[in-house]
This record gives sequence, C-alpha cells and structure tokens, in this order.
Amino acid sequence: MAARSRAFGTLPSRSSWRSPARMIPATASPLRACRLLGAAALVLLMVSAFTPAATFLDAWIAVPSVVAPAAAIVVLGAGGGTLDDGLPDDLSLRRALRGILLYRAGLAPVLVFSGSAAEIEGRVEMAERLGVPAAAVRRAPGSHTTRDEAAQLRTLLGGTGARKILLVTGEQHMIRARRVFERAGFEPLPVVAGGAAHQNTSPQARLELVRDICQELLARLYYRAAGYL
Amino acid sequence: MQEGFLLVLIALTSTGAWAVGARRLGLDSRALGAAAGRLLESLGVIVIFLAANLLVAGLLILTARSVGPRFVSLYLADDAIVLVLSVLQGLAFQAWRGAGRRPPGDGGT
Repeated sequence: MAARSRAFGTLPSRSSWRSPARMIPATASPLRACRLLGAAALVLLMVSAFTPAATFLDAWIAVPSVVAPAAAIVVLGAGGGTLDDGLPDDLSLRRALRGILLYRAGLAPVLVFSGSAAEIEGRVEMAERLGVPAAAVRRAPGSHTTRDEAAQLRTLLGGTGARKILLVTGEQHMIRARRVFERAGFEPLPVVAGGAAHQNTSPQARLELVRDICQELLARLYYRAAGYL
Repeated sequence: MQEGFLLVLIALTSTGAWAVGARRLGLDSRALGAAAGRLLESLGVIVIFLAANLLVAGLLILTARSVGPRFVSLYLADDAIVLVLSVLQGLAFQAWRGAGRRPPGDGGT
C-alpha cells in the first residue's frame, strides 16, 4: 500500500477513510477514476500503435468482396469533393477507380456514381477518360448519408428492375452500407475499395485504422438506434 | 522496424530528461512514481474532455439537422484538431486545479 501511495501520490488507505480527522478529500475519488481512465487510454494507445491488434480487428470485421455479374455498379460517395486538378480526392478516387475497373471487366452495363455534385462530376470525367461510354454512366447527386444514397438509388434504378448491384465502398463502411441497401430492396454484392493497408505497420497508419474503425462503429450504433439497420 | 526505432528514440530522450532533471536540476528520482500518477490523471482528464467534445458536437449537429433548413454532417467534428484542443483543455484544467482551491467563505468566481 505504501509503495502504491508513493507511486500514485497521496491517496489515503481504505482504513483511514473512517477517521474524520483524516477524511479523504472530496476530489480523491474522481481523481482515482481519472487515473484509471488515463491508464486505460495509455494502454489502448500503445496496443493500437505498436501491435498488430488493429489490423487483426479490421480483418475480423471486414466483409470479403464478391465480384460477379450484376445489373449495375453503384459507387458510393466518399464525402469528398475534387482536388485542384479536377480529380476526386484519394478515398473517392479509389472507389471510383474500382467501379470503373468493374465496368471495364464487363460485370454490369451501368455505372452509377453517388455523392456530392462536385465529386460526381470529377468521377464521371475520369470514367469517360478511362473509356466508359457516357451513356453507361448514371449520376445520383444530392444525398448526404448512406441511407439517403440507398433511397435515391432505389428511385433511380427502381424503374430498371435492377436489384442485384455491385456495391463499391470502403472497407469499414461496407457492413452498414450493405445492410442499408438490403433494407432498400437491393441485393448488394460487396466490393471493397480502399481497404486498410495491412502491410503498412507504421504507428500512425495503425492509429488511423483504429480511428476509422471507431468512427464506423459509432455510425453503426447511431443507425441501429435510429432504426435504419 | 519503425515502431522499434520510435520506442528507442523516446527511451533515449526520456533517459536524457531524467539525467538532466536528477543531476542538473536536483529533482528527486523517488518522485517519478507520483509524477507518473499525475500524468495518468491528466490523461484521464483529457479523455473526458475529448469524449465531452465529441458528445456535445454530436448533439449539436443532430439538433441542427432536426431544426435547421440545411443538412449538417456528423463528420464536421471529425478533425484531429478536436484531439489537440482536448489535450489543451485537459492540461489547462489540471493546471487550474494545481493552482489551488478557493479559501472557504470566498465567494469569488
């Protein structure tokens, strides 16, 4: 106990709590909780940054891609716009490129880009430059959330009878997106774009992966609470 | 490789700081345990500020979505600066706490 007191400051022993003369300060208990919280945060930080735990977690929750012929290829927005050169930003670019490669492989007759208007125009321009005919490209602008995207694409593709779609989005986003699209009446085949770079073992890359996983878990929690999943 | 290098780097500068503190500044090495306790305490306070910032941001954004005419994205709060500012908030709070409590009967704010 004495050693522990030395290590963690001046917390009194449990037996001394009963003595009015040595009453524990009102702040001691919250401070102890803060120390425990701080210790937990430090352990979590070190494990996340310096061990492959994040990579294992990511591999465990990841959805494997299913590449097969479908009625349409749907590339979801990445919440980004275009860069100064007119091309979509990194995440958006990877998803768009994956969709274009699927089209060029002849897996569907239609390629749909969703997201903000600027993002879509950047993607469409890139697709056309890479040999996708303008007639095969559809635009689904104006949606802000995954749920919006599913509803909008239901309207856009509903008339064509397209149910089976190749759904292109990021690795962490895929589980939520697939469920939302299933609820909207689609039969989505997941195609992951921009997955985690598992060979990248830098602490920064691992911490970014942990942030992405936490962000998506929170989003999934919100969708579940709101009844969207 | 990179992890090992970074850990060695931090160990080297920490050892250097210990040497300077103990030999040049006359700091008591036995107080390192208490200092570690205060570090964990500060980390805990920072985590609380970070959680509070994210929670309040989420509530504000969802409220703005429900009452405002324009869509507000939850990703508005997704910025590394929130972490940096939470660190500053936590350190400032700890410094304030370390400055001492108000004397009893003093009603100053």
